[in-house]
Amino acid sequence: MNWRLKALGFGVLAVPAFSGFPVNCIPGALLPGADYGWLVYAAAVHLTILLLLGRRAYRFALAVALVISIPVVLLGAGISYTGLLISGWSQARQVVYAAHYVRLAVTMLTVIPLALSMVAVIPMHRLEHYLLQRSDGVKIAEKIALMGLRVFNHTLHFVLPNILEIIREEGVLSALRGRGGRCRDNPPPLRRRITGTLRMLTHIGVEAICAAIRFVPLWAEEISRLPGYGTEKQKQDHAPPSGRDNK
Amino acid sequence: MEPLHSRSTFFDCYEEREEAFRRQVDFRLARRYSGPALFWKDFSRISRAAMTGRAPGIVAYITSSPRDCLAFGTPRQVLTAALMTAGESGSDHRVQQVASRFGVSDQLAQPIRTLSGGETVKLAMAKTHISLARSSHLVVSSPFTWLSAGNRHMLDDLVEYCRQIDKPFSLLALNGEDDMSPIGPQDPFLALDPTTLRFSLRLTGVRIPLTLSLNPLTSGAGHAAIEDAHLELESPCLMTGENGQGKSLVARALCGALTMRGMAVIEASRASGAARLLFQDVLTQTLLRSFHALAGSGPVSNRGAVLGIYAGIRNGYAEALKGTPPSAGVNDPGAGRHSLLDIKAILVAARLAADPAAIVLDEPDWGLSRKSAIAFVSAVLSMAHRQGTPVILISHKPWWQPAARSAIAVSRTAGVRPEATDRPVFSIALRCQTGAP
Repeated sequence: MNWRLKALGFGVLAVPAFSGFPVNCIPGALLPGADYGWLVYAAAVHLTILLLLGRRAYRFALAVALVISIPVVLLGAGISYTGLLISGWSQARQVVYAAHYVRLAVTMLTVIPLALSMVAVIPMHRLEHYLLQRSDGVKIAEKIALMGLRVFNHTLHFVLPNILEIIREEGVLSALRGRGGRCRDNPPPLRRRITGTLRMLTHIGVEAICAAIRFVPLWAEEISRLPGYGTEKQKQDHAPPSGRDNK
Repeated sequence: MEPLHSRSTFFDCYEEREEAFRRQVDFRLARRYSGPALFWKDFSRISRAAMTGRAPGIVAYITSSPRDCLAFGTPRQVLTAALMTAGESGSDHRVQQVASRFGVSDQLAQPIRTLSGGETVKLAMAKTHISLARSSHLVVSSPFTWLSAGNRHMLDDLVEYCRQIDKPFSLLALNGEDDMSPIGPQDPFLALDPTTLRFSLRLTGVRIPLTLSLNPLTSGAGHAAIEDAHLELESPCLMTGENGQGKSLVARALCGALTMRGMAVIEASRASGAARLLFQDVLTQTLLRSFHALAGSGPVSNRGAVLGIYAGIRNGYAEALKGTPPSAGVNDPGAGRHSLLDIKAILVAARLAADPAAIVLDEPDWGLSRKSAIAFVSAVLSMAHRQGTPVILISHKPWWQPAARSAIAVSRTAGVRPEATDRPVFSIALRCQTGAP
């Protein structure tokens, strides 16, 4: 199946997530917060990803979804229940909180893999190439689209892999686990690991932002200089004679 | 070589050359070597100028890291945009024609990030060649650093073309970077400890995907293979090869910086961890961290040990140059921060402090004058050997041959394109060079 059909498939599949229809209209729930509508929808999303992208991609999407969802849900629930304990336990509010966080978990475990799959199936670099190949010049809207695609592609395919390479080279994860290098025999205390992790996350965040925007002026300049719609022919007529390929 | 030498302007240090380069390209590049604050100041100014239509005139330029002047995602896009901007047709046929001439026709659909250094250089040359017709002048930064001898003719052609179309050009270089003679008695190289430091390099079934970031989601893209090898070597070991043979890819595989299949390990007598790598593009490797953050980089690093090794490297550097250790920040005229040399030294120190099985220095001369580079490498070798860590030097320059006790030649098979043009597959062979210096 080509990417257009896959993208269309995921696009259609995303409609219930955005509109709430019909998933919110199906009555009944397996347990508070886990509505039948959302459970069926989640199953459909996961099955579609498995069928269209394969087992390897499905495992990856699911892993990312779990890594994001579990801390958010558990931390959120922890904070809410702590607040509930401090303000005086109420059975009714406890049930509301439980339903809320179950619903959040189901939603996140459905929407995150779906979003990742949508990003993965659309070949953004091909779209960029397609916009550049207009023989009659590039329209203003296309230039804006090119700029947006450029920032997206650069961040996803250049900035993030570079940062991942450095994280791997520095063995950040094994150091956090107290393995690797000198810390293998003498693992550092948990507090130091936590502050180190926070520091590293800050550096990564700063680098990611700066590296993502670094080339924006260069792209703006190069994209703005592309011949406008309808002027390509004129430019060709006025181009200086070029003998560089005749050497 | 001589005409280019006489037409080049030489500088003592990276920061001075970079400042001159930025002046020549109308300050359109933000500084990354001076921390996030200066980067942001530069970026705001450049974007304001660009967004308000006050962008400077067209200049054809190649940066000291040639990848930085390529605005798009693939070689095909870079060439198409350059041709269209130059008023030519960006048709596939024309793009293919230009790509063939510059030897990048097999890589047209490959993401620029996965191009080898040599392919990136060729692409930058091709783009500059196209843009020259509409540009006021040409500026090239440190061409002798990133061009191997085998590809030097491309720069000659570019300069010759400039002369033909009567465009002014500037080559900005660092002192001695065009000197291709091996290090000799006149160079500041410290004699190494005669003790033999042996290690072995073992690669089995290494396959490196040439895909983008979301590897598992973008299945079906091509991969590079490294042929199986088991080499017994002695430190310092020199990894050589022309531009584009895949030296950096091998280094990244050996140091675990890449997602890959198979096994690539360096085994030394005191191996106590993974091998570590100083990237060629050290500025990326800093993650914009300050000197002090680098000294304590990693979640659990030992700042005291790192600073101790750093001081040792600086003392070795000074000893090689027969002078006093350079004070931190002395080479940075702009920000009063640490120089590129300091940054390299602290990155190496942080790696050595982690007790790696080996340390790999990828093009350690990048951004340094010949004298500085030789003294720096000499100081690192001396420090690494003192703590029993083998060193692999990666370079296409013949400078290091007399210093090496073993050598590996890296060569790449011609690109083959199996079922689709966007699946380039090639393999890299490592051979222990017989008659190594």
